[in-house]
Amino acid sequence: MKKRSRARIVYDVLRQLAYEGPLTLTGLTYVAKMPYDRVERLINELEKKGLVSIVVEGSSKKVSITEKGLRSLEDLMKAIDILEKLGLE
Amino acid sequence: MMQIMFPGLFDIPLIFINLISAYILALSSYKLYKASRLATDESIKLLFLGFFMLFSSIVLSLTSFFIGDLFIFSSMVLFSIYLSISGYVLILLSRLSKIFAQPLLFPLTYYYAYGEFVAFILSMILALRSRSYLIITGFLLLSISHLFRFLIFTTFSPYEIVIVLIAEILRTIGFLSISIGLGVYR
Repeated sequence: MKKRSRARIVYDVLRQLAYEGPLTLTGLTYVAKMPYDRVERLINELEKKGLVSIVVEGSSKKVSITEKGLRSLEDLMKAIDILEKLGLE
Repeated sequence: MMQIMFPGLFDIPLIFINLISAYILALSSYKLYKASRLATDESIKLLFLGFFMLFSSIVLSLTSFFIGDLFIFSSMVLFSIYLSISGYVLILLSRLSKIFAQPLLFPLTYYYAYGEFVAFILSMILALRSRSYLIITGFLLLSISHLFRFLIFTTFSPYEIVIVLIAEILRTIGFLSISIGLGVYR
């Protein structure tokens, strides 16, 4: 399988949150196709950037997209589009 | 004192096309910069730097149209080409390992002509590795333009001025094609 760019992984995660609504970290492991610990690190980074927010519901954490995250989807899409056109993605 | 002059009538279409390319490349670079920060993606950061270098190359090239001083004009054209080369290297580096950067950049400081030849190879590789027809066309035109310049510096030609003009036109259209191919208009 060809290696995906980090931008593609972030875009896939944000787009899924935008369309499907809040998801658990376990649910996001299927979207990001990454192990739980790496998804957790990624989500923590995205939370620091203000792209997602994490809400603790009982024993599980639910991740939802923020306004900034929604706005950034377009920028990420354009960058991925350029990567694809250059044969880098 | 630097002499500022108005460009010739035949330069105006080239300036206009270069302005469009510069605008689109600047916008694309900005989008890539934002994406690299959002996703903390190092390869997109290199890509941003690469396209920013190409944008800077056009800006220098544009500025050179208004310079009357031959030495400053020549320096600007020279640096514009070096910026193009840096741009190609950075775009390639977003795919390759950083190990290849120094062997590629090192000889360019010595020979201008050799730089043109490297630019020809690099832009050809970029063209052959791209998937969009416009971007392939753009890099191929840039590649041919560099090849022409390389040939001028290595062989004597009575048609030197004509070849330089053709190379400049190819380069301008090449940048336009890449800019449109990138497709970032707003």
